[in-house]
Amino acid sequence: MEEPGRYDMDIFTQALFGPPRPGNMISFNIEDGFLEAYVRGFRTKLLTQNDYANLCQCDTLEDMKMHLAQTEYGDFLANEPSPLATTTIKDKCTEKLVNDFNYLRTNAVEPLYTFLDYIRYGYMIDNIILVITGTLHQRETAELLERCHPLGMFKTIGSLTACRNASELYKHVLVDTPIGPYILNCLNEQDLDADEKNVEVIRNTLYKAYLEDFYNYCQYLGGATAELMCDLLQFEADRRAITITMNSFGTELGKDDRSKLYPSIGLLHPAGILKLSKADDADQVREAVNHILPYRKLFQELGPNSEKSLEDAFFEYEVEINKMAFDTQMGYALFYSFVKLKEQEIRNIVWIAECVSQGQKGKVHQGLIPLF
Amino acid sequence: MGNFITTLLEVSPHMWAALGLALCIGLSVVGSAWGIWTIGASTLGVSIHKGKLETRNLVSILFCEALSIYGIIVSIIMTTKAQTGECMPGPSAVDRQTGYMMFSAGLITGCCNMMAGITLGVVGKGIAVSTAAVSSLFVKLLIVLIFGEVLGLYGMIVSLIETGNCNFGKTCTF
Repeated sequence: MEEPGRYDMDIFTQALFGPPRPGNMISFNIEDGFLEAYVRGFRTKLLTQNDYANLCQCDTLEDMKMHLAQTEYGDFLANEPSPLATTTIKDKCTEKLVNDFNYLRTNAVEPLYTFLDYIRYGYMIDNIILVITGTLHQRETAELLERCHPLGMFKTIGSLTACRNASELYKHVLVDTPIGPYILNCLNEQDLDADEKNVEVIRNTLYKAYLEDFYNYCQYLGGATAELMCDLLQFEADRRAITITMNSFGTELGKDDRSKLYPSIGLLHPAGILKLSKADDADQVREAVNHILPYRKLFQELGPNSEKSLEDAFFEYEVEINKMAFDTQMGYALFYSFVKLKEQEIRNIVWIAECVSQGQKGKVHQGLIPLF
Repeated sequence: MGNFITTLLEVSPHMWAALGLALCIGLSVVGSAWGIWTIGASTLGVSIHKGKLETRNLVSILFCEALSIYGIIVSIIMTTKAQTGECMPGPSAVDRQTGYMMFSAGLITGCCNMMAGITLGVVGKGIAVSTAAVSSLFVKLLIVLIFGEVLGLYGMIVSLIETGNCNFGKTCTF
């Protein structure tokens, strides 16, 4: 997806009033009403419990294709060759999401356009790390670019294969992209070499800077957008912090390095973050998040005899809070939530497809998180 | 300060009447247009997914349109009362009263309809979006629209009573 040239239409008012903000209750519809109603239309078409029940009863992927044809996905798998693979289903579903997102993006005007761009930066970061990791393992550039998420493509991504360390990454690739400033955090102390150890550190540093930037931008936008977006981004920040901590047990990542990766915008900041940076095992993590009620409930569900993983619990909570965005009006949060809910739907479909193709339909309900 | 009040008192009552007329139709149309653009954007957005235009949402737009009809009714009645010419010594007390009442009648209708239009816009937008998801909500939500419409009607009633009572006195024409 190319970066079309953006031009700021009204330089004069921008100089006087700063970058544009979304309208308030009486003027929101002028610029963004059409797209907001369009996204609400998408929400009515998300798969329901009924659809998931039908899909779970399928015996083969061809059955699933037939059932999906009756939902809003329609004939999206019509041109695929006969033995379907789960990766094909996932790619086609993602393609549909990307087409919908591009429709929104091409019809959006200024504050919404930047907001939708911010949603894309997360995928850009994932693509960058994918390409760097692939290059380290000596994969072909073309193959890597095919595996990148289409929402996060940008023009100079091909030249990532030539980067050896973080400052080259900045100078040659990222300086023209909007996520360039995010890597300045990596360049502070020492130049991070783009090798096995540091790739995850680079990813988390970029993502931390991105989340904080997005949070500040939402605060600037104000109104209904700020209310819900800041809650959603706080959850994202806390999720990253907890996941980084849990994944770092037993690796070489020291506690100092780890604490530099925690975003500073979450509910856990500063008290929980301090405890997390000192945590050594899962119990201490649980104690660190205990003072925030939703996370405490999350961890309670993950008792020793439960089959749910932390990731699944986080996905469930994410679905719950993203559904709330559709109850608000005159804000941009529902664009973000739409993307997140669609992603969860794609994960659900892929999970069902995997269970069906491996003949393990009994396990379907473990990983399925229905949206409604 | 005294000069300001003296200047205001010297403004001809016909000027006040004309201002009232302008505000009446002007602000009514502002409110009506505000409502229509707010509802229209959302109606078009949901109609893409439905595949057809939900004709029920045109009822919301019709309610907004009625507000500008109130404005034009009061304006036309006011134009029949407005007269030209003025007597030499100056306007009489009746003339002044008429001028002020016509200004106030226009301002009342205009402001009431403007506010009602904004209200109908926000509510109608919610109706367009929620009835696309849950069809049975429309009839109940229509009641909210009717209450919004009535706000404009109150303004028109007061203005009509006011303009019904006032008449410019017999003036000398040259």
